Amino acid sequence: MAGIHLDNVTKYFGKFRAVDGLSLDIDDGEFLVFVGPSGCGKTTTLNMIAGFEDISSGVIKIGDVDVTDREPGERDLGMVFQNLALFPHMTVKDNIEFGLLIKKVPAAEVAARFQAVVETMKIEPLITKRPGQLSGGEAQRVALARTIVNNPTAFLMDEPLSSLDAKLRVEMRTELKRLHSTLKSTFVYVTHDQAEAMTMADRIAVMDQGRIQQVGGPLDIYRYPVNIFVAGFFGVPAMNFIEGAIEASDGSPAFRAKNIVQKFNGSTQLRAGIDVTLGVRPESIELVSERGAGVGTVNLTEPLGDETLLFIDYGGDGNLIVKTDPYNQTRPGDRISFRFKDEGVRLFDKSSGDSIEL
Amino acid sequence: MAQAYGMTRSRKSFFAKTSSYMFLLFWLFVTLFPIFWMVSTSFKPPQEWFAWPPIWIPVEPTINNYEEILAIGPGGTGSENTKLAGAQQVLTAILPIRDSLIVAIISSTIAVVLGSFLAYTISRYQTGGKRYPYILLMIRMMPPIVIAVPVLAYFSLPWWRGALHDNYLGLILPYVLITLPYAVWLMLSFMHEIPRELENAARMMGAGRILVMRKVIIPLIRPGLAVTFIFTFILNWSEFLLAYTLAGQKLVTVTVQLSQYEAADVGRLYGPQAAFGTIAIIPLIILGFMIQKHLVTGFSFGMVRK
Repeated sequence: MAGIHLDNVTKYFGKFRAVDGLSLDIDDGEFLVFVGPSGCGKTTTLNMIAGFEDISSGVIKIGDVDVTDREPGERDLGMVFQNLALFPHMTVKDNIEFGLLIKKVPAAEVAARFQAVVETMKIEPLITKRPGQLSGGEAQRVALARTIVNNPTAFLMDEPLSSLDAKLRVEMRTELKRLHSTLKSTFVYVTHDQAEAMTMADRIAVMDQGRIQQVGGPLDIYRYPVNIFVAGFFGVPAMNFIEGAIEASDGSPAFRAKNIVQKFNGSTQLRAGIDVTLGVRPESIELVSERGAGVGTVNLTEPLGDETLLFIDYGGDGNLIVKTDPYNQTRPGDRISFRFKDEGVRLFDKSSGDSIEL
Repeated sequence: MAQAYGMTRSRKSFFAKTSSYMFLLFWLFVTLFPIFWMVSTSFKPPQEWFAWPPIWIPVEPTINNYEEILAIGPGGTGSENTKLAGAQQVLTAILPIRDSLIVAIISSTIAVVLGSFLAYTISRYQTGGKRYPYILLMIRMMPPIVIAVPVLAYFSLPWWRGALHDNYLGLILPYVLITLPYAVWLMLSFMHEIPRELENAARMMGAGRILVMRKVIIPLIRPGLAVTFIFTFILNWSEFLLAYTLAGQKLVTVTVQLSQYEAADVGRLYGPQAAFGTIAIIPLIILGFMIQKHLVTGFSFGMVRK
């Protein structure tokens, strides 16, 4: 078992820079998730760790060993692919034993390890079948078994759950977390699904345009995003963004936009006159009887059963989305006042998008 | 009014359908009639070969033509029947069939092996660039007649010491050349079907490139190898121009031999020629039926994007 260290790793495809100076230390035994939109470089990064892509510059180490120039088979890693990559012409048993036979592991040990992993993954009834005869969940467990049986130093996973239906995806997430705590191995997981990242990761590395935007625990990233991209990527529905500026108001700085005023009491860091974007999550907006940050008209309500979403036209661009309790009686056309919870408000510099400390 | 419109539409489609079927039937007749005539003639005695009005079905069917070309019974200097037709000798089929088999099998095997490796690198590493497969095919669109005489001149040069003229090697090399583009195209379609992740998974588990080919790629493209081999075999078996130009004296293939049944020294031996032709096309018909489904897949891969 070992950690993985990426030091200033860069990857060019021709003139296009897919990964730009990426540095990250993944701790031994950690479950780290790379998350980001399509084309952000997360799969390229995973492929460079695996050895399927050459690195344009930088160093990759597994433990203390520099593996930058090593073949994939020499890095002692295990990988689960998006389409699982089970060999269709071999039985489940042959698939699982493939890696052991290549490494010329003695027959007795092959049998023992095979038996152990079959019991762990509960795939005993499947061993004579071929991949084409397996369901999505069964194939997923076989792919995991094939990776686990080789006892790799670390596990790499490239969106392994994306081909499963929603219910199965939730089940497999739990299965993977259980596996991680049992094996105590380093897991490096790539996904574009922020919910998957939030539920599975010890730490999340958010990527955009080839660069890491933020690394941290799921709740840290959710509550304290370092820039507007990270703030907007996490959370369903997404964070509300209102463009405006900071003004001096009665000695305290205040955010002012069209029809919105938000005072910041006791804060001395904000300078008046800067253009900012205010971010506030739907669950951090409260409906109030007296005027708070603003007023608006309810355009649409979406009752989801466990909560209700209100889409409010507050006079600015777009709608404010507010999360309320499921018994809220507000109807479209109602005029309401709302306030932002102080702890839920974030400010971002309008030009750079970086978070501003309050 | 709607009813009237519907009637006009169904009348139009009836006409369209009928005329397409009639055209297809006509073309079927045009294509199959020569084969029918050849098979029919192969069972006719000499007096029926040139009969007018034509005899469609042999009145006195005989297998004598087959006996002669397969050198069963009186052969060599010709039987009574061929003397009746004015022939001095009969050309037999066994040696040309043997030579065609040797040339076609060896050149097809080489084309399939080389084509598979090239298809692999094109599929995985874009060898030669994006347009390379199309360039290969374009080269093949040049008619072989353009190269027949230059190749003959080149192969006849003294430094080859006759190693390339009128023998197996001298025909196998050009046959590999002209079938390789087809082999690459067919194998490309099968290579594209294999997800790259399968190789990556094998490499991850420690397999080197040769092992990946042996254990992962080749088992999965086996049907493709068979289809490509049969396709190139059919092309090589049927090839006439290069066989006639680059060989024809010591090395006589089926196609060249077939062409020599009408000559001054043998006369017009329609019966034995028809018998030989019938035998020559049997392997093509069988093999063609075996692979027809796969050929559609193979040649349409460029048109359907996944």
